[in-house]
Amino acid sequence: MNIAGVVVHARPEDAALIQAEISTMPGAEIHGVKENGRIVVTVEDEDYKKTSDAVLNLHQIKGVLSATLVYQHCEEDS
Amino acid sequence: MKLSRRKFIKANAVAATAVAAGMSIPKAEALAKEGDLDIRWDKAPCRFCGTGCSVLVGTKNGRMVASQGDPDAPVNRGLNCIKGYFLSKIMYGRDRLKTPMLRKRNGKYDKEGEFTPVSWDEAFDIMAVKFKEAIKKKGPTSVGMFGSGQWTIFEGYAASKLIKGGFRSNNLDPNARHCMASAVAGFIRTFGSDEPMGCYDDLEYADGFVLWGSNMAEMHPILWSRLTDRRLTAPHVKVAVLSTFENRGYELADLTLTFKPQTDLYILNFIANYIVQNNAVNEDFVAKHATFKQGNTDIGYGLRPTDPREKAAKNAKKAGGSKDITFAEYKKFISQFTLEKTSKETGVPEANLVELAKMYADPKRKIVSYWTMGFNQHTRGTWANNLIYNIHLLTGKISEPGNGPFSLTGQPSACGTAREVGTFAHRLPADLVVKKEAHRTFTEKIWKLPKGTLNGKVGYHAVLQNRMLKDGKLNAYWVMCNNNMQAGPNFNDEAYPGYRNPENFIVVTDPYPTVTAMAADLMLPTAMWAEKEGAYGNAERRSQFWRQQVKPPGEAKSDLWQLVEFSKRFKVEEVWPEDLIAQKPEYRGKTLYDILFANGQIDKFPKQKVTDAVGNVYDSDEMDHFGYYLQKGIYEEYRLFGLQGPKKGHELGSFDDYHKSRGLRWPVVDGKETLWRYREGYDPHVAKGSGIQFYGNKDNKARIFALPYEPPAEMPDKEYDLWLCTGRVLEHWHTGSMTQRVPELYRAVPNAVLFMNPEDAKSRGLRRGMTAKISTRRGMIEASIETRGRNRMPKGMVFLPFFDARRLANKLTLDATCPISKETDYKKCAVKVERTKA
Repeated sequence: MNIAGVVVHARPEDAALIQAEISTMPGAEIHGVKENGRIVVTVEDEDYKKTSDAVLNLHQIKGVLSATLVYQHCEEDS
Repeated sequence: MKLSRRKFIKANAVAATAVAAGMSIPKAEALAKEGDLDIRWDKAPCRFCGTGCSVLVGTKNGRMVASQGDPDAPVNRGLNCIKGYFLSKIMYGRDRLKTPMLRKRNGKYDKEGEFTPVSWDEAFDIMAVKFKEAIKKKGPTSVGMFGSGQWTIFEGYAASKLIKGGFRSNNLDPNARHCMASAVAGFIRTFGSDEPMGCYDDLEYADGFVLWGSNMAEMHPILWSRLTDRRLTAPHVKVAVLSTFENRGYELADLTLTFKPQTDLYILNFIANYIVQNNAVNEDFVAKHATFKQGNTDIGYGLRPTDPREKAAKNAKKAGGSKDITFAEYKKFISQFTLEKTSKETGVPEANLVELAKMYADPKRKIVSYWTMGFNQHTRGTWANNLIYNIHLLTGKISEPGNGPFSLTGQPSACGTAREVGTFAHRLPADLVVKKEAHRTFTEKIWKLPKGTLNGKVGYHAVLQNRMLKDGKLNAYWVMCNNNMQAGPNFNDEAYPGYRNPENFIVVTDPYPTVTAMAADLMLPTAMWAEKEGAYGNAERRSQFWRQQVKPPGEAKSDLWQLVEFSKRFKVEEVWPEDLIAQKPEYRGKTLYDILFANGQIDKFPKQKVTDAVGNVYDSDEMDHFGYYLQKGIYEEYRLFGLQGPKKGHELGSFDDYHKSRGLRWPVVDGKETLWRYREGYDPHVAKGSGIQFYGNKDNKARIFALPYEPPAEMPDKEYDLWLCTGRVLEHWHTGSMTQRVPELYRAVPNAVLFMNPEDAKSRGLRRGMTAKISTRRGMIEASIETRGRNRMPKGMVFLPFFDARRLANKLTLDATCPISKETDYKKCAVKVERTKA
């Protein structure tokens, strides 16, 4: 089980487009958006690789100024 | 219904992320409060760059399983960058070294033998033999050490004591030489004291930011996110980015200047000239707080003295020299840097140059300048640093909230350990230097050493160490906490032949079998980061401590343990001459351990339980082994340099204070940190009524330097027709020795690619994804071509990351340095790129 919480920062005018892009990413979920362009995102998967790929991909979305990690947790499912 | 563990963890993730984003998501917050994750959380500074983010480390059953940005940390306010995601993974790479490994043949050490597991005893036995042999045969200068800006403060201090105080050799240098030395030399030359005057709080006060040769967006993402916040919430704020190619920082920038390599020296002087020509000089400030100097020119490139470029340089031996001049003479000197000439030489449009100059000249606009390797890894790196200070001094935009020049650092303790502890070949703790007798005498007093123990001659710096290994003058050599075979310049001609020289014995301490470790004769396994108690100092003078969170694997022992334990192998008579021992007869028959560490100061804090505020108990492997609180003893002795030393303004807080706080910025006086140095009201050392005192210099003034443009050591020509620049990528840190061990990160960015302009590729018959042969006068590698992506290259220039151990960028680079700072220029050499024959 791998779960990460990420703050994505966009120019407010780009936020809608970027949200749309994030919502197409498997395992990614948007929990809140602030008017200043900050988006609260979680990324989760059983596969650590897929989770980390998704976190890395958040950086590469056009218009994303920064994607900063806040929380990461990985442990074997019991 | 019981909340599933997954839902619960996710609620925690959402709640923490929302707080960091300045949002409230009540549902997640309520859920997160419902249970207990059964995880022990404790703070630690991140192990990667010099930003110094605080991380909450989550451990369960003796293993690190989670991390989160520390919401109480003033630096990162709950955020971490992508590398933080991998912090919990870097300690668990499959090929961790777990036992010492010695090259052996037929059961005996043999330089050509195979790596064979040995005990710590056997490892230290052979090491001690080799170090003693070298000292006996050729004296103290035949032994040396290459250390690290990733060492903890305690480790750097122990190394400095062992090498300089014990072995009496100044051949100790850190890998920070490759990243920060020009910043150090610039600070000392202008202000007489190392390290920035401002701090990260400037990010929220400035009206403009100028990035000089710094890809902050990818290399310092947390500071970049604070800068982005400031830019987006205050519309008048302007961001200017200068680089030799387009990087991720260009996306936010209001103004971009892509200049030809080395011509930043023109731009810096042009801005100063613009300020003078447009009457934007803060005359009162300059008259009170600055003097003028003309620096020596034609100073060479720090190459071997036999190189024709060195022979031709008039002032190669007096590179740092200067003479006093008047303000009028300085004005005349910079008048040659006109707008027309600067635009022609740099390739930057005139309008962009003027817009940048106006940002600095406007008295109402507060400006912070940031720089990293673009300035520092530069054959005129010290000059570039001096020249940016000129601009801030001419306008008086310095040492106050929102105004100041600020050099960012690339390693977690380049400041705290390499610079403040002074693990350079010329330095001692707290801004002291080996060449000054008063500084040596003070150090000998604190270290309880006989007078004359310390050597007054500057030792071998990083690049010189490799040359001296090759020449057989440096014979017993210990490399710790760095990967210099991969990171150092000119692998083929200098580094590799040096390590494999049959006269030399090379020891490498590392958690992983790096390129450097594989080139050694003995590998020692070490504890990394949270596997030991430590302390780092970040770029804004903030020292931060952490407790040991988990155990190191197998027989791995911390660098601190290794340094202190190894000192037990030397009887003082084996390393010191009789006249020194005669001064302190009580040292007769003692070991270096007794003299340097069990000296009544370092061993005075008895064993204790290490606990946090809520009562969790932590291991301290070093305390268990040595029988006293080693880290505390070392720190409290080190602290005496700031409290009693001859250089003002280096006070640190107490050991216990740091364990309780999220770090403190020095000077720490009466428990209070200092945010802006040299400014009355902020810095307790500045006399009342003086406003500003640059007290690193005796006259309390800073120096404005007249320094021209000079060409780099090597430029593209007919055969090697492109500029080569090397550097980092977001996903991998430096040589990748840790981040390449994280399988998913390795998979995401497995290979270094050559970033190239599409037209340059096309004219060579190359396309994106094709493999190309990349060669310089020093070596050749192959890598595939990338014409898109995050770095967009102008024509005539290519960029190659250096993280990839299978594509060694440093087979290509030249070991030319700034002759003053001795820092290598990794950003400029001439290269040829060709299609490989199928």
